[in-house]
Amino acid sequence: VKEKDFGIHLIGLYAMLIFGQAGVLLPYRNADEYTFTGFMLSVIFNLIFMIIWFPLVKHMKLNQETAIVKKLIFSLIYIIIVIISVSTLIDNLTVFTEFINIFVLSETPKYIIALLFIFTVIYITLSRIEAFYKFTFLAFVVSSVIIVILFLVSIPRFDIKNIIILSFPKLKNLYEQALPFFKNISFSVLILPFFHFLVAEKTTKKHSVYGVIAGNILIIFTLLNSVLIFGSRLAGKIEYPYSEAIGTVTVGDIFTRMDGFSYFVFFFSCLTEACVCILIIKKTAELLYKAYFSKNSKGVAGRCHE
Amino acid sequence: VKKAFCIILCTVIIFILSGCNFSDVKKETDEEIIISSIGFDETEDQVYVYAEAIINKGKETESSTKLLKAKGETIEEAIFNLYSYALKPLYLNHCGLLVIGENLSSKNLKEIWKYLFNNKNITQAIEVVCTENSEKLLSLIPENEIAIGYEISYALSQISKNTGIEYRNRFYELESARNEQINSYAVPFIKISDKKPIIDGLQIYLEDEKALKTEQNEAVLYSIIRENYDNGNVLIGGKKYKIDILSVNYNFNYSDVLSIDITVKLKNGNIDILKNEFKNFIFNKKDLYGIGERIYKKDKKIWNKIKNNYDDVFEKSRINISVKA
Repeated sequence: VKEKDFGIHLIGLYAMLIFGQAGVLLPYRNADEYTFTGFMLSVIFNLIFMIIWFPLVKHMKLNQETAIVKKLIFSLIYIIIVIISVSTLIDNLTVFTEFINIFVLSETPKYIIALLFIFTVIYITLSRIEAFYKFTFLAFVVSSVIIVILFLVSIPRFDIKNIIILSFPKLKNLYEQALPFFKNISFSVLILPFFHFLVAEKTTKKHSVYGVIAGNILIIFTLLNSVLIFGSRLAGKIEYPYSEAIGTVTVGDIFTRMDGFSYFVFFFSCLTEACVCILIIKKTAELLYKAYFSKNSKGVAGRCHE
Repeated sequence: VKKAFCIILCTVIIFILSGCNFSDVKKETDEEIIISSIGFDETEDQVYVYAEAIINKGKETESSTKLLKAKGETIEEAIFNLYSYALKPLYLNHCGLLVIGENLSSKNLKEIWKYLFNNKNITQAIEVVCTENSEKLLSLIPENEIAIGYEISYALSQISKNTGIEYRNRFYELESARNEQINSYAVPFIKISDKKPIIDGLQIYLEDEKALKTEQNEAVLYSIIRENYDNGNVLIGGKKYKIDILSVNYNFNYSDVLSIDITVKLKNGNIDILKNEFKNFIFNKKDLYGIGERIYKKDKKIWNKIKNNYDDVFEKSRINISVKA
């Protein structure tokens, strides 16, 4: 199967990567009534960042023929990306283990949960890349359906006063509200072009843009769900606002405590992010090895079909 | 076809794994005690905690309830003792009602809110009510529901439909109000009459201290001012009126004195009745109405001027309320 056939799958993959932990953990502690406006601002920042970052990464071709100064700079950037990927991987493992231990497997030792997560990530990353694309696309479809349905059934609990802005914010207020979102999502935006050029090299840039937009739309749904139910300040204080917000929703007499559905979204996004990090680490290591030690290196990055 | 089958299968599995029918029912009945409501009371030196447990005998119709009790010097100790005395672990996922005794001190009330906030098993949507004696209330025999806790929750939703009051007494709603500029919130007050729970107005708290108890009639007006109001039927002075659209607007001015103009706009409703009722409405000297939060949201300049001595400013403020069509 040709890799270019997986464009639509990659939109799903990038969307899940951008969604990451943000949709489940945000907003943060200092959230106020401008938090949603701040988020929208962070989306714009991230799109601008991506538009600038993408072509830069494209030109970071690393092989034995690269000029020595460039080679050193690019190598340093690749090493920084590996460090970011490792820290994101560890962060995902920690947050996932903590979350599962609190909500699902409270009596299971944390190391067992961590091992389960590690084995699943290893299994997915060792499978064919097409299987990973299919998995993330399915995860994206299921997550989107769950998020939209949960949003719709939560409407009776919404209080529109929680997002209404009655006075214009100062620029400083907006910046303070946008920053946590920007920080959280920008790590995904930072590593996304590397995945694009190193792993999914035969896809186009538009898939990445669509993926980023789709991921942000999913965050809009989850963020609105949390903020419209709890209000910004309370949502900011709760550790897992999305799950807790869904836990308050009841549909008829049969469906109570629907937070179980939100866990799937979290599992999928954590798994996707962790697998992407591992694939980037693996491919970067190969690239660096080829650039410095292999005799027939032609460089890996920058082979995309625009 | 194979792909579609796989997707459908995955979706079905998600539903099965997320529900409690398959994984929890056996656990609930055999290994844990299902708690439908919890309550707290306080005397001079002791704190009491009560839990209404559902004794499941297989079928829902054969189920009965039992009140578990424990006490301690602090809320934490009382809860610890409750867990210790119970023969099986307590299953709190379906706990729907929290009853707070009216004698609870601010310190203990804060502890209860902290306990609920940190307990991931109890839903943030648990309803909170206040009563004279939690033990007596939770000992009542339910007539229609399986447990008295569920019966009170159901009665609250019914009376809300009849009076137009949005009680906003779920824990997350109270916690949200506690995070506003002025920490004030109201919970329905339940009295016992003829061995039945009767909803009797609101108990209003300020900074987790008991501040004011309103009668049912006053509770409607309070709820309108606080915008905890749903359009529909309204019960004022024992008579039922229909209000189609009701909105409340606030305007603030501050020079030496804070001036608060509240306009209640009414469409398709009896204006005279509402005008008369508001004529007799007396505002408390303290801000029990969430007005501080409204000033903060609408005019931060005024709020920054008055926030340091807000209590004094509010006490001297001029409040004008008008009802318009």
